[in-house]
Amino acid sequence: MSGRTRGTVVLLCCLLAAAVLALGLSGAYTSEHNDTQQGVATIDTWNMTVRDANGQAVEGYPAAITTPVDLHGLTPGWTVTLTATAELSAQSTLYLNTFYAPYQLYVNGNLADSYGAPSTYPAFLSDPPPFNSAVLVAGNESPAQISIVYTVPSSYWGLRLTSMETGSFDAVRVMLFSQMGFAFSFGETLIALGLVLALLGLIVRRLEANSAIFIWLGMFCVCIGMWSVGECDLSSVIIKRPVTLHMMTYIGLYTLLIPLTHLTRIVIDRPGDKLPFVLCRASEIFALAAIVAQLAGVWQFSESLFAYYVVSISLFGLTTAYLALSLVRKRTERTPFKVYYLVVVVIFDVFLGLELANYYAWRVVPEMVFCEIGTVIFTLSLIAMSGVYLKNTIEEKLAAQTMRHRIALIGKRAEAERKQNRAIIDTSNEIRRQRHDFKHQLAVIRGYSEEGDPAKLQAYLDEISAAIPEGDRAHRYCTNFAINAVVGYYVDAAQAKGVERVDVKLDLPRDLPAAQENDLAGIVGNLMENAVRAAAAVRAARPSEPDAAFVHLRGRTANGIVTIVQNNSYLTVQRDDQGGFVSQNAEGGVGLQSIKQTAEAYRGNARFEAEDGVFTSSVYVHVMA
Amino acid sequence: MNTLNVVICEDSLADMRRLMGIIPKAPFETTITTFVHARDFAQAYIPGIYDLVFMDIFMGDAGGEETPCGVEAVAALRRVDAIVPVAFITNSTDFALDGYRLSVNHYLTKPVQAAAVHDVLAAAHEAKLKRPGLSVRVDRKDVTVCPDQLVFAEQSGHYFTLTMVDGRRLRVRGRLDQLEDRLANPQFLRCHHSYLINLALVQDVDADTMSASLYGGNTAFIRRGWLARTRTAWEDWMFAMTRKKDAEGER
Repeated sequence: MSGRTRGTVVLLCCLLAAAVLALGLSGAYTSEHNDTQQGVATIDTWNMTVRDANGQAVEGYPAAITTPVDLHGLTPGWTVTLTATAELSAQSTLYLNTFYAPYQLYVNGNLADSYGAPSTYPAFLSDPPPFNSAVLVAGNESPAQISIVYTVPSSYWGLRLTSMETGSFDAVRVMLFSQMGFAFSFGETLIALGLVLALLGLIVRRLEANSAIFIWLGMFCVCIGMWSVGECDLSSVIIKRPVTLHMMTYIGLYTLLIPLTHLTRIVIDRPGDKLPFVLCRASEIFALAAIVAQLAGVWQFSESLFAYYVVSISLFGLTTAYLALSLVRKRTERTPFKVYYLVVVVIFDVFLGLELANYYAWRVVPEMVFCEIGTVIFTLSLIAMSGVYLKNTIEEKLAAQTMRHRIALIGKRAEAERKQNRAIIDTSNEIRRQRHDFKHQLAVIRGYSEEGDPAKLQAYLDEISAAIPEGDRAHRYCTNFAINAVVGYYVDAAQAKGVERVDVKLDLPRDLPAAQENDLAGIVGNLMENAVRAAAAVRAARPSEPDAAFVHLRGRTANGIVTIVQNNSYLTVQRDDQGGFVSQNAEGGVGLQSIKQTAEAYRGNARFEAEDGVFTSSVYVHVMA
Repeated sequence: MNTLNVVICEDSLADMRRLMGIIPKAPFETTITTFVHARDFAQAYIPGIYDLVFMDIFMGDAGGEETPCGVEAVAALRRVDAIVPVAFITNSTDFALDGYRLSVNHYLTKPVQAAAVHDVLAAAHEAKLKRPGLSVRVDRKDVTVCPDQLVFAEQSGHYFTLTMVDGRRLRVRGRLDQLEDRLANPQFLRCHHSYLINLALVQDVDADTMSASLYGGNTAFIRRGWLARTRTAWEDWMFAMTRKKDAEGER
């Protein structure tokens, strides 16, 4: 990726992050105020009573509180009753939430809603999961008394009490969606995006192993999405499955470490190093242990959260530090991709830290905002980087394969040139012999002439005429020595495989710069190699039709352009998804790709077509002769 | 149009006189131009002027080079004129590949025979008669031009200008659409509302400058939306010409 493109990607990510932050902040601002003009009122002033398990009032707690507030020092099983009065219309909606605490909601003494009865959640959870409820109640326009009785949870550190929102159903709905709609949509989108990425990665992995980066990135998006959806208050209003959402939250959070450590391992790309693999295993073991422990009911997610923080900070810190160290120590491994990844990971770590700080202390923005920003930056950056990385990897592999192919062709060309040189030497020796004989022949002619014997003279002239060689043993297909050698090699190969109809005439420049000559020889060699292989297959399949197998190669030079066209017989061809041809070579092959790339490097082009048993190749390149 | 303009490139006076004695006996008018040095011929050659070239392969001293001067001279000729018939005068078939390469039409062995020369003349005359001629009105005079010698045509106002390979620029009143209809040949491509190009004389198609480089340093612009089809048409032309070069070799 060029510097400019990289800069553009980072800039766009920052702009998107700023937009998300702005949206989140604006949502936070409007949600903190009693804005009856929106039709939603907030009840945040309560009378409070704390009672023990026997129903006795417990001293030491204020009689009036303002929510939100956290109460500490409570004993599991105690109850905390909040009461307030509010104006309710004929059809009012009360929105409230609870963190692990069962509750009963009373309106004018009547039970309006309850949550957290032991039968409503599985036995491996010690407390009911967090829940948000929008309860429809009927009022009569006079002040109504609202009471909420919370039961202190057994495993949570205290009791978190939040404000209650009241208003019409539509008003409450608008409020919820305006505050939390984005987070909910964001989470769902991430899950969908993650699944698509992972699926793409699985598909591409068949072709390119390094595409595992997309699989892990997809898993990362799914984890963040699950965490976001599970954590979002709106989710439990829409999806009335608090246990499922609770599991989604923690499974998403805990498994998040796995794709991150694996991504870092791939980026580090040092199979001999143990630490990256150890970190990957650690993340997998921790996630598995925490989930199994929760399912066994021995370690609640809420209890293991601190351990998760320790593990995640350690793993994040270790992997980031290890990557940074490897880049500092070994300059040869300092690729732009690794540096870019390090920067992106650090940015994500920062936003993750901000999210935790906001969640536990600041509360200046709604939950998940910082995480969403960091995720957007991380995901988009990594998608862009991975795409470039994958493209570069594929290109490097293709280049390496092309180079191996070229080296093989050079070897064949060298062998062909040796044969050609031998043929030239043989011809030279023959000419030398004939020059030696010529003097003797002239003497004989002079003798017959002096004898006046025309018959004998004619017979002798016929004899020596017949002995004149017809031409070079080194067959000439074109005036360029190197390309002529390559063609000769493949013509011999074709004839060895029974392909007799090989017709080659190339009008190519005799002298070319060395690099151009090599490339042109490569093009001709690739063309002939494919053609001879295909024609030989036809010959083998149709032994009684020798004329069915043929190779016909022509070349023309005009206006500084060399044009080469070839027709050859074939049995079968395979096409790829883009309509191109797949190599039939058992070892794999890049011949046609190599031809096209070489042609394009010389401002030319190459086309290949197959129809009715004739494979047509057409190539042109600009040359400097 | 009926006169056959013949050029003889021969350094042997005897062989040259022999040819000059045979050619005027053709049943049509002929003109003869002679060159003794291949270099002089190559430098003086202008496409469209001559209708037939007799070339001695071993004309002049090859100077130790592998390729004789006569072959080099024809190579130079072919760089500017792909059409004019060429007859090699030779004793050897060793340069058959060069003959293919240079699209040489005939081989005559020395001493040349009248019947063989007349065959060559008749073939060249017939080719000339069959060669399409385009009649245009230039400065109130009718001028016949050979379309193969047209590099490109450019519309400007009520006139279009024909640029020929010999450098002539003929200003003709009319529209390029009319010329395109008259030519009606895949060799000529409308690449722009104001340009018609001869694909055989295109040297390059440049996507950056949206233009085609033509023989003689000329440039024709290509309409942006027509760039792909112009390039494809040019490539098709080159490939077709290469295949046509030795059509009997096809399957």
